[in-house]
Amino acid sequence: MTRHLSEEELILHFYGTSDDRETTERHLALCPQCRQVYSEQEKFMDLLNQVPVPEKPADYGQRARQRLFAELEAQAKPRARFSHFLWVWAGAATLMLAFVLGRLVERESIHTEPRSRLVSGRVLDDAVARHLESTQRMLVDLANTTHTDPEEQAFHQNWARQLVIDNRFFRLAAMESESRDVIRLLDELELVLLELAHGSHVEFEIEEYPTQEQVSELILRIRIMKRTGKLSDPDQPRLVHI
Amino acid sequence: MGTEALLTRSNHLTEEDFAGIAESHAHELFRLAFRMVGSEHDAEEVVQETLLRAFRKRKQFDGRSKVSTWLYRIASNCAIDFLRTRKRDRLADRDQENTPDQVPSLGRSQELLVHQKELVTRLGKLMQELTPKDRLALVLRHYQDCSIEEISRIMNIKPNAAKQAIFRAVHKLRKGMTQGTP
Repeated sequence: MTRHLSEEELILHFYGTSDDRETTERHLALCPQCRQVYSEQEKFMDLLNQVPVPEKPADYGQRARQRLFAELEAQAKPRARFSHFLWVWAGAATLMLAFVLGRLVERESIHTEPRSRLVSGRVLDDAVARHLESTQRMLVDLANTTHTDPEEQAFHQNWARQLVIDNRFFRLAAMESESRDVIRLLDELELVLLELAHGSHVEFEIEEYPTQEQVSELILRIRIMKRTGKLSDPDQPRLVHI
Repeated sequence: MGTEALLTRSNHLTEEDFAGIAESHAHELFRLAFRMVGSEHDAEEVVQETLLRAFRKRKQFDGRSKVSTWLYRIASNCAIDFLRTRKRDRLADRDQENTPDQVPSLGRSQELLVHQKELVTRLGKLMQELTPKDRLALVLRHYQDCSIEEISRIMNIKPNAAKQAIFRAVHKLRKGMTQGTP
């Protein structure tokens, strides 16, 4: 090697990761300039070793384990409350279902609208009723799950995501047929489904479900709904992404 | 008991297995977290979050990599998440608060010792100014003694990118130290 070693080559050599270790060593043995640079680099690396880390007591591992299991236990309690709210939602979904089915029966008996509009409205109501049934199944299933198994969490998230897509499709159809009640109902349902579908955090393929913040937000919104009788301000613009 | 033995006994890590892993790896996770976030209190939070995430994902651990590699991967994500959400001014305050007063003696004169201590303190601060990815690569290689292959698995990057990140980190630190020298 006729040229001097670069800083990169010297650093990688120090860490034993250079592409051609033998050539680098041979060059260092023959070249006093590179040897000098490498020696300075070694001193710097030694300085790096001295950047201190606080020493933890010998029982730190034991305390970390105890803290972990205490935290898991504490988290299990809000989950139980979360399940309770899911049951509330499952009940609400049943009421919504009854409402839509009621509309279906009502239309059949007292309609005066043109036949084409009736058919399109009836098909929509029928489809929305099935969508609500499916949502209800998911909510009940979710309420019965402990969520310690990541596979189950992912399963419910995917289910919720699919339901959000269905929900949006039905909302579009409801807009076309100007079914305002159905639109409102689907809007409210979407908020809940998004909470469940968005319970993910992806970074280096690490996933979390659902975060405490998301659960708290959902609980807060349900509390607001209980007080005001509605989940959100329908006039407020919403930006949502799947 | 080794990880292989744990996985032979059952197909995944049980709660009991995980308790043992948490206990035996807590110290090294703390060291990694501290090097990343630069504060004792925050590092403890990162360790806690790492163990929580790992516990929830314990059934996904298939024993193909070392337990430490798996845990480092999760800890790295937690630390990077933490750094993203933490405000910069809070970071600077904590750096000062948490730099231990005791620096290992070099066995030289008192003056040199003081100078050395200043250098080490400065270096610790410069480390916190590196990008999280460069810092992580350096911490894993220099302090945790991970191989390039392990680093690339932990960080989900190619081996060459891992080498580049290590080089960038050392280069920036050396440059920073040179610029700071009167």
